[in-house]
Amino acid sequence: MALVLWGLFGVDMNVWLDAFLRLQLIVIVMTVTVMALIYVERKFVGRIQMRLGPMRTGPYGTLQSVADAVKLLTKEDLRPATADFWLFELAPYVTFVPVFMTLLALPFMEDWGVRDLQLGLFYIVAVSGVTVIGYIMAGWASDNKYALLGAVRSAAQLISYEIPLILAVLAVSMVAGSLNLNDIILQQDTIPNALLQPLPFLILLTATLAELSRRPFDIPIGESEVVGGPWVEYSGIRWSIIFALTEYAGLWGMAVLGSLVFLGGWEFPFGTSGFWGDFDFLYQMALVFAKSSFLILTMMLISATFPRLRIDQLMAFCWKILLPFGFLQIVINGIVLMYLDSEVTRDIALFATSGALLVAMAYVTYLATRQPSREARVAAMVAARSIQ
Amino acid sequence: MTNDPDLPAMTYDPELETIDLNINIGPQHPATHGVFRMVLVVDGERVEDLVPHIGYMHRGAEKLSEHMDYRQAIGYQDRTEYLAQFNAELCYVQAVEKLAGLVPPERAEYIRVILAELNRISSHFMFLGAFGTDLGVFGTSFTYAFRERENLLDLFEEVSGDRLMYAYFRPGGVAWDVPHNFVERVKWVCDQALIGAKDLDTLLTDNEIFIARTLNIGKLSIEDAIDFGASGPVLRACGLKFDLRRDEPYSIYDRFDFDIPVGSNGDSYDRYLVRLEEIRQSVRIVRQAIDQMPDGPILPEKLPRALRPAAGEVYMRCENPRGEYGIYLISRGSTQPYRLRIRSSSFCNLAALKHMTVGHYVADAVTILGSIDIVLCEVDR
Amino acid sequence: MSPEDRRRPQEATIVAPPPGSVADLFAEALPGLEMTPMQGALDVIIQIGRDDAHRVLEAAKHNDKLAFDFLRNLSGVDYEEQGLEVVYHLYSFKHRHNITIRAKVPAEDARIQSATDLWRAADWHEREARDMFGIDFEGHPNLVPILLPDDMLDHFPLRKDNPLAPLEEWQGEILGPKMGDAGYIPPGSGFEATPAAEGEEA
Repeated sequence: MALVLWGLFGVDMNVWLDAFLRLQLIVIVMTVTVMALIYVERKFVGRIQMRLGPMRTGPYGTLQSVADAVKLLTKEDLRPATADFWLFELAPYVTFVPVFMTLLALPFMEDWGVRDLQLGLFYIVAVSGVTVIGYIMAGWASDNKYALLGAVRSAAQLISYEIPLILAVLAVSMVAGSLNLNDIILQQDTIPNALLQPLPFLILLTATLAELSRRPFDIPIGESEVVGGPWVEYSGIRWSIIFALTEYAGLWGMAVLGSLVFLGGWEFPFGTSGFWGDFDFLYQMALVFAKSSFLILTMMLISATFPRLRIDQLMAFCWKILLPFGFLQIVINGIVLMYLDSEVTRDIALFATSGALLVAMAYVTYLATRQPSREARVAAMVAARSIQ
Repeated sequence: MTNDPDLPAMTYDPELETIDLNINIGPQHPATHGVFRMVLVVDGERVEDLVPHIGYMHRGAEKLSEHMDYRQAIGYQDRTEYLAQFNAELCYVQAVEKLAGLVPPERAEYIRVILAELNRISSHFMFLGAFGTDLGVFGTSFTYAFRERENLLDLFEEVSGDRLMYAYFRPGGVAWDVPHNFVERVKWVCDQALIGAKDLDTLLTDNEIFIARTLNIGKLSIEDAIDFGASGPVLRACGLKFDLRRDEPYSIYDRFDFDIPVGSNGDSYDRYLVRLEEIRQSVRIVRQAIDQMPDGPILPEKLPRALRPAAGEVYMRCENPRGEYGIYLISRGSTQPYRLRIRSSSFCNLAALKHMTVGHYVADAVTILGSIDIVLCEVDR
Repeated sequence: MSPEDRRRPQEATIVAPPPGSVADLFAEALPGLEMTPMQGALDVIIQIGRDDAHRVLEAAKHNDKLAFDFLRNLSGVDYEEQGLEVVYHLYSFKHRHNITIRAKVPAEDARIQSATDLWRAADWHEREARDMFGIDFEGHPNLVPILLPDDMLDHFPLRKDNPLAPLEEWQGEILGPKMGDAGYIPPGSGFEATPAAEGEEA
C-alpha cells in the first residue's frame, strides 16, 4: 500500500491531486496514531502504577480506543444553555486545526512530507501558537468559572512557553544555518543536534510538555483544581476532538519535530546512503518512529510520576530560568558560529558551551528550589525513625 | 449565591476596575474528599477569603444512636468514621465500658489495639494516595497506596467479615475470636506496609515539585492550632509532641514502645511527613503487640444480655488517625445512650482551614484541604 | 426495681472529687462561685449556673494555675425537666489536666454567653449546638446553621421533645408529597395520600 503510494507520489501528477492524496494519508495515519497513542499511554501508565491497563476489549485491550471512539461519537452533544453558541461550537476546531497544520510541514521521510517549506520551522512555531485562542474561546464561551480560570491560566502558560520553544529551535536553526527542516536533518548525518545543543533540547522537551498541557504542567486543565479547565463543559464528539485529536496529535507532532530537529530524524546514524535503494523509506520510517517513540515515552514517564506545579512557579520557571538561558544560548551560538571556522572546533565549542549552560541552568534551578529547612526536617524525622 | 448572608460582599475598587471572583468548589468536586463545599473569593489566583460549608452528609448519627441499644450504636461509629472504623469503635466501646464497669480480657485488648493500629496505617495510606492526587500526581501515588490498603482491608475482612463496616468490637471485648492464621497474616501485612511506605517515600518525599507545592503552604502555629482545637497530625506537625496514646494512655498503649513524630513548621509538608512516619511507628506497635498477645477469652465471663450502665457520664477520647476522637456518652440508666456526642477530629481541624488558606493560591487551597485529611462523614456525622 | 422505675431516667449519684483536684483550683481562683463539683468516670466535673459560665471559662483560660488552653469539645445536652446544659470539655497542655464544665441553661430561655472570644474552636461547636438545641450563644460573630439547612431555624433535632418518628414525618412534610408517599403522611400536613389503585392494598 505504502509502496504504491510512494510510487504514486513519484509520478509527475496534478499538484492539487497530489496534495489532496498526501493530506488524506496524513489524516488516516494521524487517526490511527492517536488511537494507538491513547492505548499506549493507558498501558504504559498502567504498568507504572502496577495496573494492567485496558484488558477487556480485544486481545490485551487493543480495541479499547476503538470502543472509546464509538462511545464518544455516539454521545449526545451537550451545550450549556447560557453558553455563547458560536464560540462554544467552534473552539474545538480552533484548537485542533493548528495542531493539524503543524503536521503538514513535517518531513516524515526523506523528501516525504505534505509540503517541503523553506521556512518550515518558522511555520510550525507560528501555527502552533494559535491553539491558545481555542482555549480562551472555550473558557469564555462555557460560562463557567472553572473554565474561565482555566482559560486565563492557559493563556498565560501557552504564550509564555511559546518563547523558550522558539528560542530552542532558533538555536538549532542557527547551527544548521537554515529554517528548512530537510536541511536541518541533512546537516545531522554524523552528530545529532541533541549532542551539539543539549540545553535547547532540554528546553524543547520542557516547553513541549507545557505547550501540550501535560503533567506536570497541566495547570490549565488540572483536574483537582479547575476540573478540566476550559473543557469542563464539553462532552461527546467535541470533547473527543479536543482530548483525543488535539492532545495526542499534538504529542505526536511535537515528538516527531523533536526527533527531526534534535535527534537527527531519518538521517542519523545511517545517513542518506541509499543502500536499500527504493526501500530506503522503510528504515527511515523505522528511525523516525523509534526516535519519536522515545520522546513520547519519556514525556509519558514524566507525566505519570510528577505532581503538578503551581501557576506562579510555572511562570517563574519559564521567565526566570528557561528564557534567560535560552537567550544566552543564542548569543553564545552567534559568537561561536561567527568566529570559529573549522567544523571540528565549532562542534566541540557548541557542545562545550551548551553543556556548560545546561549544568549552570541545573544548578540555578537547584539553588532556586532548594529549601534549607527541608533537609533539617527530613533529617529530624529520619532520626526519629527507629525502624526501617 | 449573592443572597447568601454567609458570603462576604464582593469588593469593588473603582480605580482599578477589578472585582473579586467567587469560585464555588464542591460539593461535587474531585478535590473535596466527599461533599465538602468551599466558596473561594479570589483576586486573580490569590485567595482573599474562604467560606466553608458543611452539612451535606449530616445523617444524625448522634440522634439515631440515642434510639439504639448500646451495642447497636456501634454500627454508627463505622459509618461516621469510615476510614478508621476500628479506632472509632474502640473509642465508643471504651466509653461504654467506663460507664458499665466492664473490664475486657487481655486477649481482647491486644486484638483491639492491633486492629486499631492497622486501621491507622490504612487510613494514612488513604491520605498519602489522595494527597498525591490532590497535588496532581497522575494516580501513581494512589495506586501505590491502595495496594497496601487492599492488603489491610483483606485482613480486616478475614477478621470481621466485612471490608468497611466492621462492627467487630463489643463493650467488654470483641465479637468473636480472630482466625487461626491471624498472627502470620498480621506479620506479613506489616512487612508489606513498610514496603509501601518506602515506595511512597521515594516517590514523593524528595520530589522537587512536591516540595515546592507543600513546603510553607498552610502554615499553622502551635498557638493557633491549639486555639482552633486542632489535634492529631495537624497539631503534631506544628511541633507539639502530644499524642493521647502517650499522654493519656487508654487501653494498653502504655505497654508499647514507640516514638511520636513531630514536625517543626506546621505546614502541609510536615503533615505529610508526620503521617508517613506514623505508619512506621504503628507497624512497630503492632509488631510488639503481636508478640505479646496472650491466649484466652475474648469477652468477660459475666456479660449481661442487655447493657444497662449506671447513670453517669464520660468523655472518652482516643488518638485517631485524624486526631482526637471523643465520645461524650451520658447514661441515665436505660438500655439506650441518653446522649451520645461525637467530638469529631476532622470537624475541629477543618475549622482552621480558612485561617490556613487565606493569602495562598487557589491550587494551594486544594493542597491544604488535602493535608488536613478530612473525612466528611465524620465532619457532618 | 419495677419495670416502670427502670424506664424512668435515673439521676447520677454525685460523688465528690478527691481533695486537691482541679475543682479545688476553681474554688481557689473564683471565691464565692456557686458550683457543684463531682467526679466523673474520667474527669472532674463542675456544674455551674448560666450567668457564671463566661466568668468561669475566662478564669479557666487565663488563670495560671488552670491554664486550660484547649477546648476539646463543646456540646449541648437536653435533660428534659432539668432544662438544657452546655458542656465544655477543657484540657491544659501546660498542666496536663482536664475539666468538664456543665453550665445549666433553662430550656424556655436558652441563651448563654459565647466562648468564641476565648477559644476560636468554640465557633463551629456553638453553631452546631445552636442547630441542634436552639441555644442562643450571645456574642457569637456568625451564629448561622452549620450542619442543618439555612432555613431550619425553628426546629431543634437533638432536643428530647423531638423523637425520631415525628422528625421523619416532618422531613416527609418538607420534602414534598412524593417523599411523603413512601411512608406515613402526617395528618394536617396538607398532602393527601395517593389513592391506592383498584384491588391493591395501600
